[in-house]
Amino acid sequence: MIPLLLSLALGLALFFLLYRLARRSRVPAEGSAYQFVEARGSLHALQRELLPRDFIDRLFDRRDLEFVSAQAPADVRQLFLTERKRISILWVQRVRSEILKLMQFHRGHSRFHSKISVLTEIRLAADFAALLIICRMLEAIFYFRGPYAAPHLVDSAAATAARLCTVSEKSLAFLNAPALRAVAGESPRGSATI
Amino acid sequence: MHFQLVGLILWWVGLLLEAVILARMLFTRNFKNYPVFYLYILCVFLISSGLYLLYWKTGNLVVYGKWYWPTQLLTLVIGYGVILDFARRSLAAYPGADRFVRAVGLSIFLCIFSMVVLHLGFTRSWSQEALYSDLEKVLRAVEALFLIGTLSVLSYYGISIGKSLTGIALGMGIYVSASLTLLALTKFIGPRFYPAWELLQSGSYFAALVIWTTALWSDDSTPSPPNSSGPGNYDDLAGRTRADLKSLRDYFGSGARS
Repeated sequence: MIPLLLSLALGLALFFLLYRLARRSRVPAEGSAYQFVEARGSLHALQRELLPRDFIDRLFDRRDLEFVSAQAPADVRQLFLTERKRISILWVQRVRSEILKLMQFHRGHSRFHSKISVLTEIRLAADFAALLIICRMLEAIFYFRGPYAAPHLVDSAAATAARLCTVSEKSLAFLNAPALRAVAGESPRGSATI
Repeated sequence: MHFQLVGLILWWVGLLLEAVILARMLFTRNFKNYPVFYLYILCVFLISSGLYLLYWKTGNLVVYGKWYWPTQLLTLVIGYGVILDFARRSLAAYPGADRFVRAVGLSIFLCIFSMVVLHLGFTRSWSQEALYSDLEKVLRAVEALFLIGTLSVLSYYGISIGKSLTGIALGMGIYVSASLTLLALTKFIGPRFYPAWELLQSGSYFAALVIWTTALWSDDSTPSPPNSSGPGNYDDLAGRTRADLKSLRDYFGSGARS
Protein backbone atom coordinates (compact mmCIF):
# COMPACT_ATOMS: atom_id res chain seq x y z
CA MET A 1 0.00 0.00 0.00
CA ILE A 2 2.82 2.46 0.90
CA PRO A 3 4.64 2.08 -2.48
CA LEU A 4 1.31 2.70 -4.22
CA LEU A 5 0.67 5.84 -2.19
CA LEU A 6 4.23 7.07 -2.80
CA SER A 7 3.89 6.50 -6.55
CA LEU A 8 0.51 8.26 -6.60
CA ALA A 9 1.95 11.19 -4.63
CA LEU A 10 4.87 11.49 -7.05
CA GLY A 11 2.56 11.27 -10.06
CA LEU A 12 0.24 13.93 -8.64
CA ALA A 13 3.12 16.25 -7.72
CA LEU A 14 4.48 15.95 -11.24
CA PHE A 15 1.04 16.64 -12.75
CA PHE A 16 0.66 19.72 -10.55
CA LEU A 17 4.04 21.13 -11.61
CA LEU A 18 3.30 20.39 -15.27
CA TYR A 19 -0.02 22.20 -14.91
CA ARG A 20 1.79 25.21 -13.46
CA LEU A 21 4.36 25.10 -16.27
CA ALA A 22 1.62 24.98 -18.91
CA ARG A 23 -0.40 27.79 -17.27
CA ARG A 24 2.54 30.09 -16.63
CA SER A 25 2.26 33.39 -18.40
CA ARG A 26 5.19 35.57 -19.36
CA VAL A 27 7.70 35.90 -16.57
CA PRO A 28 8.44 39.52 -15.62
CA ALA A 29 11.96 40.76 -16.21
CA GLU A 30 13.98 40.07 -13.12
CA GLY A 31 17.38 41.11 -12.02
CA SER A 32 17.00 44.53 -13.64
CA ALA A 33 18.54 47.70 -12.22
CA TYR A 34 15.08 48.82 -11.15
CA GLN A 35 14.79 45.67 -9.04
CA PHE A 36 18.07 46.40 -7.29
CA VAL A 37 16.83 49.83 -6.32
CA GLU A 38 13.44 48.48 -5.24
CA ALA A 39 15.08 45.76 -3.15
CA ARG A 40 17.31 48.39 -1.55
CA GLY A 41 14.18 50.35 -0.65
CA SER A 42 12.53 47.27 0.86
CA LEU A 43 15.62 46.50 2.88
CA HIS A 44 15.74 50.07 4.14
CA ALA A 45 12.06 49.99 5.08
CA LEU A 46 12.44 46.73 6.96
CA GLN A 47 15.64 47.62 8.81
CA ARG A 48 14.88 51.24 9.65
CA GLU A 49 11.09 51.37 9.93
CA LEU A 50 9.46 48.00 10.51
CA LEU A 51 11.90 45.77 12.37
CA PRO A 52 13.77 47.92 14.92
CA ARG A 53 13.43 46.28 18.32
CA ASP A 54 12.16 49.38 20.14
CA PHE A 55 9.47 49.94 17.51
CA ILE A 56 8.20 46.36 17.81
CA ASP A 57 8.33 46.56 21.64
CA ARG A 58 6.36 49.81 21.52
CA LEU A 59 3.73 48.44 19.12
CA PHE A 60 3.08 45.22 21.01
CA ASP A 61 3.65 46.44 24.58
CA ARG A 62 0.73 45.41 26.79
CA ARG A 63 1.52 48.20 29.24
CA ASP A 64 -0.07 50.69 26.82
CA LEU A 65 -3.32 48.77 27.05
CA GLU A 66 -3.03 48.52 30.84
CA PHE A 67 -2.43 52.26 31.07
CA VAL A 68 -5.45 53.11 28.89
CA SER A 69 -7.61 50.60 30.79
CA ALA A 70 -6.62 52.19 34.12
CA GLN A 71 -6.97 55.81 33.00
CA ALA A 72 -9.86 55.89 30.54
CA PRO A 73 -13.42 54.62 30.22
CA ALA A 74 -14.30 51.36 28.44
CA ASP A 75 -15.17 52.95 25.08
CA VAL A 76 -11.76 54.65 24.91
CA ARG A 77 -10.14 51.31 25.73
CA GLN A 78 -12.15 49.73 22.91
CA LEU A 79 -11.12 52.50 20.53
CA PHE A 80 -7.48 52.01 21.53
CA LEU A 81 -7.70 48.27 20.91
CA THR A 82 -9.34 48.77 17.51
CA GLU A 83 -6.68 51.24 16.44
CA ARG A 84 -3.82 49.08 17.73
CA LYS A 85 -5.28 46.07 15.92
CA ARG A 86 -5.47 48.07 12.68
CA ILE A 87 -1.84 49.22 13.05
CA SER A 88 -0.66 45.67 13.85
CA ILE A 89 -2.38 44.29 10.77
CA LEU A 90 -0.89 47.08 8.64
CA TRP A 91 2.54 46.33 10.13
CA VAL A 92 2.41 42.62 9.34
CA GLN A 93 1.03 43.26 5.82
CA ARG A 94 3.83 45.71 5.14
CA VAL A 95 6.48 43.29 6.45
CA ARG A 96 5.04 40.56 4.21
CA SER A 97 4.99 42.81 1.16
CA GLU A 98 8.60 43.99 1.66
CA ILE A 99 9.77 40.42 2.28
CA LEU A 100 8.05 39.32 -0.94
CA LYS A 101 9.97 42.01 -2.84
CA LEU A 102 13.23 40.86 -1.26
CA MET A 103 12.43 37.25 -2.13
CA GLN A 104 11.71 38.19 -5.73
CA PHE A 105 14.99 40.10 -5.88
CA HIS A 106 16.90 37.20 -4.34
CA ARG A 107 15.45 34.68 -6.81
CA GLY A 108 16.14 36.91 -9.78
CA HIS A 109 19.68 37.53 -8.56
CA SER A 110 20.91 34.15 -7.29
CA ARG A 111 19.87 32.08 -10.33
CA PHE A 112 22.74 33.70 -12.29
CA HIS A 113 25.39 32.95 -9.67
CA SER A 114 27.42 29.87 -10.44
CA LYS A 115 28.85 29.66 -6.92
CA ILE A 116 25.64 29.53 -4.92
CA SER A 117 25.55 27.10 -2.04
CA VAL A 118 22.72 24.62 -2.51
CA LEU A 119 22.22 24.23 1.25
CA THR A 120 22.08 27.98 1.79
CA GLU A 121 19.57 28.31 -1.04
CA ILE A 122 17.36 25.61 0.50
CA ARG A 123 17.63 27.22 3.93
CA LEU A 124 16.77 30.64 2.50
CA ALA A 125 13.81 29.26 0.55
CA ALA A 126 12.56 27.59 3.74
CA ASP A 127 13.05 30.83 5.70
CA PHE A 128 11.17 32.89 3.11
CA ALA A 129 8.34 30.35 2.97
CA ALA A 130 8.13 30.10 6.78
CA LEU A 131 8.11 33.86 7.20
CA LEU A 132 5.37 34.37 4.62
CA ILE A 133 3.26 31.70 6.36
CA ILE A 134 3.92 33.24 9.80
CA CYS A 135 2.87 36.67 8.46
CA ARG A 136 -0.40 35.25 7.18
CA MET A 137 -0.97 33.52 10.53
CA LEU A 138 -0.23 36.74 12.43
CA GLU A 139 -2.65 38.63 10.22
CA ALA A 140 -5.41 36.14 11.08
CA ILE A 141 -4.52 36.14 14.79
CA PHE A 142 -4.49 39.96 14.98
CA TYR A 143 -7.81 40.08 13.16
CA PHE A 144 -9.59 37.56 15.36
CA ARG A 145 -7.83 37.82 18.72
CA GLY A 146 -6.27 41.25 18.79
CA PRO A 147 -2.70 42.62 18.65
CA TYR A 148 -1.47 41.08 21.92
CA ALA A 149 -2.45 37.46 21.21
CA ALA A 150 0.83 36.09 19.81
CA PRO A 151 3.93 37.87 21.19
CA HIS A 152 6.22 34.88 20.58
CA LEU A 153 5.13 34.60 16.96
CA VAL A 154 5.81 38.33 16.49
CA ASP A 155 9.33 37.84 17.89
CA SER A 156 9.89 34.83 15.67
CA ALA A 157 8.71 36.75 12.56
CA ALA A 158 10.94 39.71 13.42
CA ALA A 159 13.98 37.47 14.00
CA THR A 160 13.51 35.56 10.73
CA ALA A 161 12.93 38.79 8.82
CA ALA A 162 16.08 40.31 10.32
CA ARG A 163 18.09 37.23 9.30
CA LEU A 164 16.80 37.49 5.73
CA CYS A 165 17.61 41.19 5.69
CA THR A 166 21.22 40.43 6.64
CA VAL A 167 21.54 37.97 3.73
CA SER A 168 19.95 40.42 1.28
CA GLU A 169 22.15 43.23 2.55
CA LYS A 170 25.22 41.28 1.42
CA SER A 171 23.75 40.88 -2.07
CA LEU A 172 23.07 44.62 -2.26
CA ALA A 173 26.35 45.72 -0.70
CA PHE A 174 27.70 47.09 -3.99
CA LEU A 175 25.00 49.79 -3.93
CA ASN A 176 26.79 51.29 -0.93
CA ALA A 177 29.91 51.96 -3.00
CA PRO A 178 32.39 54.39 -1.37
CA ALA A 179 32.27 56.48 -4.57
CA LEU A 180 28.63 57.29 -3.88
CA ARG A 181 29.46 58.46 -0.35
CA ALA A 182 32.29 60.58 -1.76
CA VAL A 183 29.88 62.31 -4.14
CA ALA A 184 27.44 62.90 -1.28
CA GLY A 185 30.29 64.32 0.80
CA GLU A 186 31.09 66.95 -1.82
CA SER A 187 27.71 68.60 -1.40
CA PRO A 188 27.58 71.43 1.10
CA ARG A 189 24.63 71.49 3.50
CA GLY A 190 21.49 72.96 1.89
CA SER A 191 22.69 72.59 -1.72
CA ALA A 192 23.86 69.93 -4.12
CA THR A 193 27.03 69.51 -6.17
CA ILE A 194 26.08 68.74 -9.74
CA MET B 1 -11.50 -7.36 -27.58
CA HIS B 2 -12.70 -3.76 -27.47
CA PHE B 3 -9.60 -2.77 -25.43
CA GLN B 4 -7.36 -4.57 -27.95
CA LEU B 5 -8.84 -2.74 -30.90
CA VAL B 6 -8.47 0.68 -29.26
CA GLY B 7 -4.90 -0.24 -28.25
CA LEU B 8 -4.11 -1.24 -31.82
CA ILE B 9 -5.51 2.02 -33.20
CA LEU B 10 -3.44 4.00 -30.68
CA TRP B 11 -0.39 2.03 -31.80
CA TRP B 12 -0.94 2.88 -35.49
CA VAL B 13 -1.69 6.54 -34.83
CA GLY B 14 1.32 6.69 -32.48
CA LEU B 15 3.60 5.36 -35.23
CA LEU B 16 2.14 7.90 -37.62
CA LEU B 17 2.74 10.78 -35.17
CA GLU B 18 6.33 9.65 -34.56
CA ALA B 19 6.88 9.65 -38.32
CA VAL B 20 5.35 13.14 -38.52
CA ILE B 21 7.64 14.45 -35.75
CA LEU B 22 10.69 13.00 -37.51
CA ALA B 23 9.57 14.40 -40.87
CA ARG B 24 9.02 17.86 -39.36
CA MET B 25 12.49 17.63 -37.82
CA LEU B 26 13.97 17.27 -41.31
CA PHE B 27 11.89 20.20 -42.53
CA THR B 28 12.62 22.60 -39.63
CA ARG B 29 16.21 21.34 -39.12
CA ASN B 30 15.40 21.23 -35.42
CA PHE B 31 17.66 18.21 -34.86
CA LYS B 32 20.62 20.39 -33.90
CA ASN B 33 18.52 22.03 -31.15
CA TYR B 34 17.19 18.86 -29.52
CA PRO B 35 19.35 15.93 -30.71
CA VAL B 36 18.67 13.69 -27.71
CA PHE B 37 14.92 14.11 -27.99
CA TYR B 38 14.89 13.24 -31.70
CA LEU B 39 17.15 10.26 -31.05
CA TYR B 40 14.59 9.13 -28.47
CA ILE B 41 11.71 9.48 -30.96
CA LEU B 42 13.71 7.64 -33.64
CA CYS B 43 14.48 4.77 -31.24
CA VAL B 44 10.87 4.52 -30.10
CA PHE B 45 9.71 4.60 -33.73
CA LEU B 46 12.11 1.81 -34.76
CA ILE B 47 11.36 -0.33 -31.69
CA SER B 48 7.61 0.21 -31.97
CA SER B 49 7.60 -0.65 -35.69
CA GLY B 50 9.76 -3.70 -35.04
CA LEU B 51 7.44 -4.92 -32.28
CA TYR B 52 4.42 -4.32 -34.49
CA LEU B 53 5.97 -6.35 -37.31
CA LEU B 54 6.81 -9.12 -34.83
CA TYR B 55 3.23 -9.14 -33.52
CA TRP B 56 1.80 -9.06 -37.04
CA LYS B 57 4.06 -11.90 -38.32
CA THR B 58 3.75 -14.26 -35.37
CA GLY B 59 0.39 -13.16 -33.91
CA ASN B 60 1.84 -14.41 -30.65
CA LEU B 61 1.62 -12.17 -27.60
CA VAL B 62 4.18 -14.29 -25.70
CA VAL B 63 6.91 -13.55 -28.27
CA TYR B 64 5.86 -9.90 -28.21
CA GLY B 65 5.99 -9.85 -24.40
CA LYS B 66 9.47 -11.39 -24.44
CA TRP B 67 10.77 -8.42 -26.42
CA TYR B 68 8.62 -5.75 -24.81
CA TRP B 69 10.43 -5.31 -21.45
CA PRO B 70 14.06 -5.20 -22.69
CA THR B 71 13.14 -2.68 -25.42
CA GLN B 72 11.08 -0.68 -22.91
CA LEU B 73 14.16 -0.41 -20.66
CA LEU B 74 16.24 0.76 -23.61
CA THR B 75 13.82 3.59 -24.43
CA LEU B 76 13.62 4.41 -20.73
CA VAL B 77 17.38 4.91 -20.58
CA ILE B 78 17.27 7.23 -23.62
CA GLY B 79 14.31 8.96 -21.95
CA TYR B 80 16.68 9.79 -19.11
CA GLY B 81 18.89 11.50 -21.63
CA VAL B 82 15.91 13.58 -22.80
CA ILE B 83 15.16 14.75 -19.24
CA LEU B 84 18.81 15.57 -18.53
CA ASP B 85 19.07 17.43 -21.83
CA PHE B 86 15.87 19.33 -20.99
CA ALA B 87 17.32 20.39 -17.61
CA ARG B 88 20.63 21.40 -19.21
CA ARG B 89 19.04 23.45 -21.99
CA SER B 90 16.38 25.18 -19.91
CA LEU B 91 18.96 26.26 -17.29
CA ALA B 92 21.88 26.95 -19.63
CA ALA B 93 21.70 30.72 -19.03
CA TYR B 94 21.30 30.34 -15.25
CA PRO B 95 24.42 28.76 -13.72
CA GLY B 96 23.10 29.14 -10.17
CA ALA B 97 19.85 27.34 -10.85
CA ASP B 98 21.69 24.73 -12.96
CA ARG B 99 24.06 23.97 -10.12
CA PHE B 100 21.10 23.60 -7.78
CA VAL B 101 19.34 21.10 -10.09
CA ARG B 102 22.50 19.07 -10.61
CA ALA B 103 23.07 18.76 -6.87
CA VAL B 104 19.45 17.76 -6.26
CA GLY B 105 19.48 15.31 -9.19
CA LEU B 106 22.66 13.63 -8.00
CA SER B 107 21.26 13.25 -4.47
CA ILE B 108 18.04 11.70 -5.83
CA PHE B 109 19.98 9.28 -8.02
CA LEU B 110 22.30 8.21 -5.18
CA CYS B 111 19.36 7.82 -2.80
CA ILE B 112 17.28 5.64 -5.15
CA PHE B 113 20.29 3.66 -6.37
CA SER B 114 21.24 2.79 -2.78
CA MET B 115 17.67 1.74 -2.06
CA VAL B 116 17.61 -0.57 -5.10
CA VAL B 117 20.97 -2.13 -4.22
CA LEU B 118 19.77 -2.74 -0.65
CA HIS B 119 16.51 -4.21 -1.94
CA LEU B 120 18.39 -6.51 -4.33
CA GLY B 121 20.66 -7.55 -1.52
CA PHE B 122 17.77 -8.63 0.67
CA THR B 123 15.47 -10.23 -1.94
CA ARG B 124 17.27 -12.47 -4.41
CA SER B 125 14.23 -14.23 -5.86
CA TRP B 126 13.11 -11.95 -8.65
CA SER B 127 11.80 -13.50 -11.85
CA GLN B 128 13.00 -11.86 -15.06
CA GLU B 129 9.64 -10.18 -15.75
CA ALA B 130 9.27 -9.02 -12.15
CA LEU B 131 12.84 -7.71 -12.30
CA TYR B 132 12.12 -5.67 -15.46
CA SER B 133 8.81 -4.40 -14.10
CA ASP B 134 10.27 -3.40 -10.73
CA LEU B 135 13.33 -1.92 -12.38
CA GLU B 136 11.10 0.14 -14.66
CA LYS B 137 9.11 1.35 -11.65
CA VAL B 138 12.26 2.43 -9.83
CA LEU B 139 13.71 4.11 -12.90
CA ARG B 140 10.41 5.89 -13.60
CA ALA B 141 10.40 7.10 -9.98
CA VAL B 142 13.90 8.56 -10.47
CA GLU B 143 12.78 10.19 -13.74
CA ALA B 144 9.73 11.64 -12.00
CA LEU B 145 11.79 12.95 -9.08
CA PHE B 146 14.33 14.54 -11.38
CA LEU B 147 11.59 16.19 -13.43
CA ILE B 148 9.92 17.39 -10.23
CA GLY B 149 13.26 18.84 -9.08
CA THR B 150 13.87 20.62 -12.39
CA LEU B 151 10.33 21.97 -12.69
CA SER B 152 10.37 23.15 -9.06
CA VAL B 153 13.60 25.07 -9.68
CA LEU B 154 12.17 26.58 -12.89
CA SER B 155 9.08 27.63 -10.95
CA TYR B 156 10.98 28.93 -7.89
CA TYR B 157 13.43 31.04 -9.87
CA GLY B 158 10.72 32.17 -12.33
CA ILE B 159 12.67 30.92 -15.34
CA SER B 160 10.91 31.15 -18.67
CA ILE B 161 11.51 28.42 -21.27
CA GLY B 162 10.52 28.29 -24.91
CA LYS B 163 7.48 26.60 -26.43
CA SER B 164 9.45 23.57 -27.64
CA LEU B 165 11.11 22.89 -24.29
CA THR B 166 7.79 23.36 -22.49
CA GLY B 167 6.24 20.86 -24.88
CA ILE B 168 9.06 18.34 -24.38
CA ALA B 169 8.69 18.61 -20.58
CA LEU B 170 4.90 18.39 -20.69
CA GLY B 171 4.86 15.33 -22.92
CA MET B 172 7.60 13.55 -21.01
CA GLY B 173 6.07 14.47 -17.66
CA ILE B 174 2.61 13.19 -18.59
CA TYR B 175 4.05 9.92 -19.86
CA VAL B 176 6.37 9.42 -16.86
CA SER B 177 3.74 10.23 -14.22
CA ALA B 178 1.14 8.03 -15.95
CA SER B 179 3.64 5.13 -16.26
CA LEU B 180 4.65 5.43 -12.61
CA THR B 181 1.08 5.51 -11.33
CA LEU B 182 -0.10 2.71 -13.63
CA LEU B 183 2.82 0.42 -12.73
CA ALA B 184 2.03 0.89 -9.04
CA LEU B 185 -1.66 0.19 -9.65
CA THR B 186 -0.81 -2.95 -11.69
CA LYS B 187 1.27 -4.27 -8.85
CA PHE B 188 -1.49 -3.46 -6.36
CA ILE B 189 -4.55 -4.68 -8.29
CA GLY B 190 -2.98 -7.61 -10.12
CA PRO B 191 -3.53 -9.29 -13.54
CA ARG B 192 -7.14 -8.11 -13.93
CA PHE B 193 -5.78 -4.56 -14.37
CA TYR B 194 -3.51 -5.53 -17.32
CA PRO B 195 -5.97 -4.67 -20.16
CA ALA B 196 -6.74 -1.25 -18.64
CA TRP B 197 -3.01 -0.72 -17.97
CA GLU B 198 -2.10 -1.40 -21.62
CA LEU B 199 -4.75 1.00 -22.84
CA LEU B 200 -3.96 3.80 -20.37
CA GLN B 201 -0.20 3.43 -20.95
CA SER B 202 -0.70 3.71 -24.72
CA GLY B 203 -3.14 6.59 -24.17
CA SER B 204 -0.67 8.60 -22.09
CA TYR B 205 2.06 8.06 -24.68
CA PHE B 206 -0.36 9.09 -27.41
CA ALA B 207 -1.14 12.30 -25.45
CA ALA B 208 2.61 12.96 -25.15
CA LEU B 209 3.04 12.47 -28.92
CA VAL B 210 0.22 14.94 -29.67
CA ILE B 211 1.88 17.54 -27.40
CA TRP B 212 5.32 16.97 -28.96
CA THR B 213 3.94 17.20 -32.50
CA THR B 214 2.25 20.51 -31.69
CA ALA B 215 5.14 22.00 -29.70
CA LEU B 216 7.84 21.03 -32.20
CA TRP B 217 5.90 21.88 -35.34
CA SER B 218 7.93 25.04 -35.79
CA ASP B 219 11.47 25.96 -34.77
CA ASP B 220 11.55 27.74 -31.43
CA SER B 221 14.76 28.24 -29.52
CA THR B 222 14.84 28.88 -25.78
CA PRO B 223 14.35 32.59 -25.04
CA SER B 224 17.33 34.45 -23.74
CA PRO B 225 17.14 35.31 -20.04
CA PRO B 226 15.51 38.58 -19.08
CA ASN B 227 17.83 41.46 -18.25
CA SER B 228 20.91 39.83 -16.83
CA SER B 229 21.56 40.80 -13.28
CA GLY B 230 24.62 42.08 -11.52
CA PRO B 231 26.78 45.13 -11.43
CA GLY B 232 26.91 45.27 -15.24
CA ASN B 233 23.27 46.13 -15.32
CA TYR B 234 23.64 48.55 -12.45
CA ASP B 235 26.27 50.27 -14.57
CA ASP B 236 23.57 50.93 -17.17
CA LEU B 237 21.50 52.68 -14.53
CA ALA B 238 24.54 54.62 -13.30
CA GLY B 239 25.39 55.59 -16.91
CA ARG B 240 21.87 56.87 -17.55
CA THR B 241 21.93 58.82 -14.28
CA ARG B 242 25.31 60.33 -15.19
CA ALA B 243 23.91 61.40 -18.59
CA ASP B 244 20.87 62.97 -16.89
CA LEU B 245 23.13 64.84 -14.44
CA LYS B 246 25.26 66.07 -17.33
CA SER B 247 22.22 67.45 -19.16
CA LEU B 248 21.07 69.11 -15.91
CA ARG B 249 24.54 70.63 -15.47
CA ASP B 250 24.45 71.91 -19.07
CA TYR B 251 20.99 73.35 -18.50
CA PHE B 252 21.91 75.18 -15.30
CA GLY B 253 25.25 76.26 -16.78
CA SER B 254 23.56 77.85 -19.81
CA GLY B 255 20.97 79.48 -17.50
CA ALA B 256 23.72 81.07 -15.39
CA ARG B 257 25.53 82.42 -18.47
CA SER B 258 22.40 84.01 -20.03
